[in-house]
Amino acid sequence: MPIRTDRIYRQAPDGTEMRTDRSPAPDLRLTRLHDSVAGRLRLEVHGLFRNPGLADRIESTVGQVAGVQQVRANPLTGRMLVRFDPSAPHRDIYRLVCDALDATGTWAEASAEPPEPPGEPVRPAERRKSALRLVTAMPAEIPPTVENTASGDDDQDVWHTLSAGDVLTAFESDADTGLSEAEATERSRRWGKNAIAESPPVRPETILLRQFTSLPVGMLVASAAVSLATGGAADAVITLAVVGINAAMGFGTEIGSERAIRRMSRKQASRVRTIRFGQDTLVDEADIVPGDILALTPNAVVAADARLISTSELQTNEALLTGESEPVEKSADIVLSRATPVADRHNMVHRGSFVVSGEGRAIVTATGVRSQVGRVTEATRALATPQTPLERDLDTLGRRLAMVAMGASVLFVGASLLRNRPLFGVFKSALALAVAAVPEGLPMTATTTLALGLNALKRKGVIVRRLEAVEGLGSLQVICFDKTGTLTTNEMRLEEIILPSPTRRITPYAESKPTARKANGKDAALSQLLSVALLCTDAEFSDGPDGLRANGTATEAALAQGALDLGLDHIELRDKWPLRQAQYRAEGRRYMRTLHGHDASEHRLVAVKGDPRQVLDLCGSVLTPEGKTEPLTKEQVRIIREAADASAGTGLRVLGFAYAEGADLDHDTTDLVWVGAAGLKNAPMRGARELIARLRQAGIRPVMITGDQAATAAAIAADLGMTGDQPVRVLDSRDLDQLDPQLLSSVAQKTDVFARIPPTQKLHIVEALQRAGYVVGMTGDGFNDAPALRAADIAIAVGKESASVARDVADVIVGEGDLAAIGDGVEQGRAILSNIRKSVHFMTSTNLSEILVLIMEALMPGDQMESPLELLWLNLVTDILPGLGLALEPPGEGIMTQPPRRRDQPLLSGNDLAWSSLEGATLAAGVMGAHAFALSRYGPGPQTRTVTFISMVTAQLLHALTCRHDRTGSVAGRSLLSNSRLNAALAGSMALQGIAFVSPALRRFLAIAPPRPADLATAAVCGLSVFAANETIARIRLRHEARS
Amino acid sequence: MRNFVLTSTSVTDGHPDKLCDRISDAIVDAYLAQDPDAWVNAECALASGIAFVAADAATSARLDLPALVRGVVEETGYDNPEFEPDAMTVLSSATHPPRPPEPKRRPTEAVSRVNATLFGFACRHTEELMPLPVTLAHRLVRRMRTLRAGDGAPLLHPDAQAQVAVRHEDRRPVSIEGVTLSATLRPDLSGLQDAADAIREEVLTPVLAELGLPVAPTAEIEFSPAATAPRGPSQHAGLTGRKNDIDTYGGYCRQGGAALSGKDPGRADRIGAYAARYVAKNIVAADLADECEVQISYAIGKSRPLCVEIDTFGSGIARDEEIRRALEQEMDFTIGAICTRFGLGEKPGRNNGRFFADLGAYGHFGRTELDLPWEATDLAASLKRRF
Repeated sequence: MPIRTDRIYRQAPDGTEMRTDRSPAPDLRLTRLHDSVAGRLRLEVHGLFRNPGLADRIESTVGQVAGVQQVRANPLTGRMLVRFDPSAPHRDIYRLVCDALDATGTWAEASAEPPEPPGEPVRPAERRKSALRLVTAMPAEIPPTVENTASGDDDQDVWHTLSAGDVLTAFESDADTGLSEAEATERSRRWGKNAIAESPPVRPETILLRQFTSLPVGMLVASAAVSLATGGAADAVITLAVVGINAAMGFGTEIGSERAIRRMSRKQASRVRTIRFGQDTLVDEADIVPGDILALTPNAVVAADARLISTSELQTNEALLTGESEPVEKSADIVLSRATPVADRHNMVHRGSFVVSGEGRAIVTATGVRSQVGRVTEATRALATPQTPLERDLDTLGRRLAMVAMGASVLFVGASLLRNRPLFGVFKSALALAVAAVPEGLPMTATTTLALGLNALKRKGVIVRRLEAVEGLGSLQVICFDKTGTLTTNEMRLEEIILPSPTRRITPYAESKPTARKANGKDAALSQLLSVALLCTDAEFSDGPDGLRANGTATEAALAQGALDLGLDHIELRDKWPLRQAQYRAEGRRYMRTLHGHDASEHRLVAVKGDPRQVLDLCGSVLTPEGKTEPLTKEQVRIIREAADASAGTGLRVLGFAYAEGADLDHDTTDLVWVGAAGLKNAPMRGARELIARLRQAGIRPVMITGDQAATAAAIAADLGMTGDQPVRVLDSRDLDQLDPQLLSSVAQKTDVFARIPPTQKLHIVEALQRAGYVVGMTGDGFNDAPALRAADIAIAVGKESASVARDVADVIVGEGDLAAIGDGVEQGRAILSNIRKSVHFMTSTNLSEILVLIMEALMPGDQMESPLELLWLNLVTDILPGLGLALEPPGEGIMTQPPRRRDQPLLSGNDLAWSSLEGATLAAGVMGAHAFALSRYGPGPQTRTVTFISMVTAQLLHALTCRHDRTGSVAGRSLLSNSRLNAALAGSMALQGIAFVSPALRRFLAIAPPRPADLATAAVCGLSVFAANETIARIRLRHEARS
Repeated sequence: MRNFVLTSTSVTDGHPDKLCDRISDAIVDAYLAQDPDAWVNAECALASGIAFVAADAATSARLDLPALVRGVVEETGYDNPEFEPDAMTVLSSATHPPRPPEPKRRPTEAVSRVNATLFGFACRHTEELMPLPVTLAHRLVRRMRTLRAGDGAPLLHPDAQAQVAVRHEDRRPVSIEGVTLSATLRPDLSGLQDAADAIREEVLTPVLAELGLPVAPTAEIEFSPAATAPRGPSQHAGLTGRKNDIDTYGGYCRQGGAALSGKDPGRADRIGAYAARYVAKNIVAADLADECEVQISYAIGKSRPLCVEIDTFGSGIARDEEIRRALEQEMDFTIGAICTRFGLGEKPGRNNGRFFADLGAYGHFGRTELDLPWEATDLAASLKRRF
């Protein structure tokens, strides 16, 4: 916040005009303020402020003056009040007071402590601080090192608070000669190269390792180890084989994505104009060192953070740094306060920006990782990425199942020991129980589904880095969009032209081209406005595929393009009025002026374009539609201003245009002719509107974060339909980190647009929304978005041209034109989530049924228990295929019209688990029925086991069909066998099961007998009755859920 | 009640409630500057350094609300980091409902959009025909705001308040029974002595001298520098319309419930209050009474008031009923007629976009330094002729 220093006291407290002309007073140190009341004289004493000692001395000195009754000197106000004999004239008392102060030498003391010079730009406290800073900032005292600056320590950020000369001194450099080569080499050695290390590519080992870190996989590995320890080598081999296949699939998919991302970031080194040893030389960007003098010319890329030492109408584009797409004016001559945000440091240029116009020189203050860009990059790398909801859920589920397995095993061992079973057999059975509890097929199912989803998205132009991120997209509740470069393009469009006297609004692109062109022919003011726009510009033209294209800054290009589209001939115009001189915008002068005319002729034209208010102030007349000029009345000025304000209020960037014939640029004129104003607008990105609509329908709240002004941002938000027909709620803040986090969280939930947000604070918004319990996605393209991207649950980098650090932290990368594909990603993610839920449901109920069956078998006489191998076969061979089949269900119809699941909502709620347990119990009951039947018929032996085994397989496979009911899917009218993939999977599983019975080797391996027809019939009866029972349960459940 | 002590309070423009009022009225100004016929309802709340702003405006005009809010806050002196270290965060939402069809060109048919009972008052205590206690309180806080330290910057935090107790006999002020000023020094000066002295000398003494009212011997005149008291919008909360008595007559007469700020002048609960003051002041200015309270009531959908009542507290030259009848002959109280008479919709546009915001502190009435149509006494001559 700027400190206002221009408030020089002009009014005495009683409202009378203070005597600003102090010449009648003989002494400047003592000013008469108020002398209208007899017997009272108020004086302002220079040097008295903040000087209680002087106050005491003045009181004692003046108190002794003849006629004075009382004196009060106030060090707070710097004034004194003298009460005296009312009959004495004020003038005499004043004289006596002056004399007394002189005679006693009080003045001398006062002068020893010089008063604050008026208009001093820095307050005393402020100045003391900056003096201190000057010392700490000297490289000699604390040389900037990687350690103390890259750690985010801002103490080195003082260069904008110092004058250019001080900075030159601090770096022992010279504005004209720069550094010597030797010195540059020495500094490069000391402070390192001017380079920000590309983050190293994610190594294949890392990706491979990542495949083994999930808890379910860990359980598989652990169970293999237990099998091996208890002699089940075959079990271990099978289990590990499954783990291996799973890892290979995940690894293959992820490494493909990683390579695709890597291919995007290839950057070539550039050379930079630098003054070395008095010579203007080209130096490799990496060799720039602190103290180097950069020569800045149009289109030059700024290679390092630097303090400007001289400027000539310099403008730079800092979009990469700040997200602000308009050029920023720079000036070497200003000194800023310490708290000035980076975006407002107009006496600095920063790495990553480029020069738009003008020239300048700057001394490098920070290079490489110490530059603003470097620091953000480094800081971003240090942030941790949150787990995706699925990772979290699968871990939780795995932990729970592990506990169930352990519990069941302990219970079982206890029960068996009570029945005095042999120890070895007990442990073998306990192992079987553990195997039964672990859903061996789950990791495989999840990995396969995610990998397929990832590849499907890749075909739509969306690259997903990690498998889990696919599902993460489906869990998003809020997506924060960085406006510029994501929701809007960096380009602008001429939206409307406001002509004066009488006020007329023309919308060039809303009307058909011929109509607008005709208007141009008829309206003198319009064609004059367009001419001024074409003359007073740096825009150039080039032939493109769709005709002539204007190039230049976004604003100028849009204006020039508008003029072309309305039928102006730029060649003819520029021939008639060649450019002679240009004066660009500068600090305080928010308009550009150009002088046109041929050398030979006396005919001159001044064209002016800029801030409408400032341009209007320069105008004395106005152009009518007929081409006549008439004097500008006060009323007209008011109407023009209102019209311009109204357009600005709708989010347009408004520029005013004026011209003068026969004038020149040397003196500021006030008799320009006003021709009108033009409003420009950022064009929405292709697909943005559709995406927003789709997200809103899916219950995902879009939020816009931008550095733009509130009105502009709100207008775009409304335009994109971000809030539907609701008002757009705008939060405008430059100091979000000052807000109470709790408060920000609650406010953020109600905010649609965050305006004027400095790039560094985007992170706070993401975190605030996460604190409020949302799963937050963030899209961005600039490096300034990187920290927020990192913090987001799902980071989406937009554009293949996006900053490499943004891509480095992104989970998802979409092409600029493929914004709508984010919607596809969400749909894909949701489908996957819903399907994985079905698989998990299937596996928990079947695994539970296995546990129950084992325990009941153990309790029943005969000891005919399933072996661990049988269970492994069941879980790995027969369960995986139906699990996959379920995971490949086509997306349900309503999937994009339902709200996303809440962050705290687990994959399967307690309620879900209860239902699936009930189904598991039904399965177990059916299988036990078959088991009991077989036991009674065959007695203990392989044949009984066969019946149990085959019944269990049949019941489980049929149960897969029941599991197609999904909590979120529409069940009514669903046909049982509509998922052909599941049908195939079931058939496949059946076939595998058949092989197990047909192949003698497998039979021996599994210790089962070939089934008899009656056994098959038993299994069929068991399976079908269990299916019927579970279908009934499922219907009750769905009706129950529909009601609640 | 003819003999009594009445205390009235005033706060500076930096008080969060008043800041909200000024923000709301600045929004009204900005809409009216673009569209004099705009219907505006603007509300503002301040808490924890956030300004919550909601504007509901039936107009085609559009505003940059956050920029506007910041402008007001900075103008109030909160751009000085000594007073308000953090920049304000603004959460705004603007709705622009379509306006119901209305006979816009025939203002006589304008009807009230609200149910409202309004009171207006005038008396002879001061030149501007306002009750003395609130006038005194306003002058004290205004004086506090202009107080400068030796370096030319404000001496006090922009958020300050004053309360005065005035003894009345036979409804005339006779003495000052007590004055309490509450303010905080600029933080960087808090170590310096003599703040109370400076305030007494530069604020209390001149203001009390101006009014020439004796200070009772038992009067307590207190200045509490209250260095620790929370000040400013980041420290304590504010809300539009919380300072109704300060906006009006300091509790001297009956008080309507509706706030004035943040409403367009077509709203009966705003313009009605101005009309009530206008006629009360003109009755006193016409010497028909020494003091006069006017009550006007409007109902939704009606253009005419349900009633106009006056009470001169026995000071009238005729019966209240007669004065009322004379008044109704002279003044048309329909909403449209009052709007036409005052022409408030056009005021902001004619006045560089600023009219109502200036009313946001130091009261809406008795403000002779502003050109307020309801303070005009142009009805007095014709009223007088009727008696």
